[in-house]
Amino acid sequence: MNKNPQPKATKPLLELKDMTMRFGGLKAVDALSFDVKEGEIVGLIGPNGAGKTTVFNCMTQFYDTYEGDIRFRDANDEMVSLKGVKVNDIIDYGIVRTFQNIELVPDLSVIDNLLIGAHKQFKTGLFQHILTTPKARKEEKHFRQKAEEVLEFMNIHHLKDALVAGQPYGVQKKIEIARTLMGDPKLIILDEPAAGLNDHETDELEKLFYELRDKYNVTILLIEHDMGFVMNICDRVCAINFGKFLAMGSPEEIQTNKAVQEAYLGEEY
Amino acid sequence: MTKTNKTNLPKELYEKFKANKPLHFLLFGIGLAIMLLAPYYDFIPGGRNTNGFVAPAIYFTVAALGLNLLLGYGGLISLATSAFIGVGALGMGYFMLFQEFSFFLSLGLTILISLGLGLLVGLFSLKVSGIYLTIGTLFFATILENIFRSVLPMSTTESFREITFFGNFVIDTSKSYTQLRTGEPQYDRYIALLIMVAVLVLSMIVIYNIIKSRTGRAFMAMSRSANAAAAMGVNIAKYRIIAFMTASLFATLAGVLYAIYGTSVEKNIWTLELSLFILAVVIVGGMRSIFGTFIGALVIFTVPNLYINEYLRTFSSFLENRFGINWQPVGFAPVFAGLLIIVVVLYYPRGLIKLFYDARILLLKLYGLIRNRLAKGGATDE
Repeated sequence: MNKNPQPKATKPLLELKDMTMRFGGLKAVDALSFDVKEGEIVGLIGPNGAGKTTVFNCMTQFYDTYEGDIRFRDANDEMVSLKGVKVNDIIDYGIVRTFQNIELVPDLSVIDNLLIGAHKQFKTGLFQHILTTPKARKEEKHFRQKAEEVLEFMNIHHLKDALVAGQPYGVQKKIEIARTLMGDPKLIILDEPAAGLNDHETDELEKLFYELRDKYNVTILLIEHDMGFVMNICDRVCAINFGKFLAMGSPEEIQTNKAVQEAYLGEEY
Repeated sequence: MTKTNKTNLPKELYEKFKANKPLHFLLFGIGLAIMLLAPYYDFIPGGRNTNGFVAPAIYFTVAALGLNLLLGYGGLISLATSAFIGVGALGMGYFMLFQEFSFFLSLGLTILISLGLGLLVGLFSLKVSGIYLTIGTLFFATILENIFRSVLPMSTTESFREITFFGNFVIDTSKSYTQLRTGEPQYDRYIALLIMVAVLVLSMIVIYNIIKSRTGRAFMAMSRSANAAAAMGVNIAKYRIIAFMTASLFATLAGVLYAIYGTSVEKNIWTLELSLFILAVVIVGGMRSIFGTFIGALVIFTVPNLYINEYLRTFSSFLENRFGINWQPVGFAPVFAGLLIIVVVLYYPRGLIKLFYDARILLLKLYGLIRNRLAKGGATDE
């Protein structure tokens, strides 16, 4: 279809090495290893309870008690371990995520929600804001402009001053993706971006992802249950079940993989 | 080209004015200052003491603005507001009367103490949240209250005779508005009121600038979804502490204003009751509304004392004369505040400030109706 040719993905951007996450006696993720290369769109699939969101939470350091290592290519083009990085510093590395349930501020306008995504990039401090120094005003204006550009790109510019509360589900999902773009991301981690969208919106999202990759140079890692969507859009797919690695490869390879079929459909008798 | 520019100019100016919120606060302050001149010119019949009733609304608005930031934006409830107001009032009293420090040194020390205490509450808030945090602040307030009562070396009420700000700038707020014998106006209390109005306007502008900046957005993000806020780089711990320190600073400023205006500082009135009244100010006036906070303070602190108590006294004397029933309307203010909270929460959950929006919409509707009628009438005439 209109699938863009895969960019020359050679260097890994994110690497998981034998990552294990325990909740008490339960191993939610068990010695999982895979990598995401620069410029790729990678899907993480698995039946319910497979540990996909746990993997995301470990990557973004919401859970910091995992074993093994998660490494990410930093600004100096070196792979560094994310272990010990604070949750709110993860965005500095260029990793931004969305959530399974939309987590926006409902009683702020759309553009203000986007500005939350640029939180770390503001250089002026509280006192400069209180005094509204020219520098602070200039900075605010700059990021507002940036937010408007992002909204334009997402085709929701006309809603910029509307409250988030009351916007349709599809629009809220778009706002969440737009918010991630404000943080100048290298890797966007999306937790079920297509859940609850209608067919038209899913198609739109697909197109959007290719544009995202080309215009903003981002790598995308996503969890999704809509298999049609995943197989269409992803360059590679990683399948896990009960926290264990099953297979990773192109969508075609995953579709024909025995272990994946068993995980989804049960064993053949 | 020039023509269109000309016609658009008033509208442009209006839009500019509409967007410039700090200017609104400034104009509001000037208007309030002019209104506070009323007792000198007998605008309000028999209302010599009106200012005495409006003053609490002014200084408690400052405290309520801090609480509004904490509650409306940060999503954190504090029941320690009155204790922090107490820190302001008693700190000024202690440093100025017992240590004989200058006004500004006392102010600086009081603010430092309040920021330290605010930091303590903020640090506590990192460990607990929700209802437990509320209970924690309540006990924090109780501890402070008891420190005021038993540790501070002051008697229950200490009076300032006059406050020297600097050099010759001295105000003696114990003077009444006019000299009794000659009827000459005395402006000392008015100057104190002007200082209060200035602090109020400044607080409004500061709060507005905070909530419109990234700090305000971080507060909102933190209270609505802590996870998303953290993922976007908001340091939750930092902003919780900032929220509590700002709220305690504003409460302390309210206490300082109380000390300036009240001519005396009391030890025993910084109780939970006052904290709840200030919470009521925020809820009745309108959460996350700056003007709403002032309206709430007027309704909670001024209206009961200025009007309701007067009417009740009339009613009670009527009862006495007509039916011989002896009923004294003492302490009615809490009843009024309680009833008001119930009514507001039921019918105006966004606060009394919404009354204005509703009134405006109603007026616009009426205007549209009348215009339609007129247009129709014009059509039939032709």
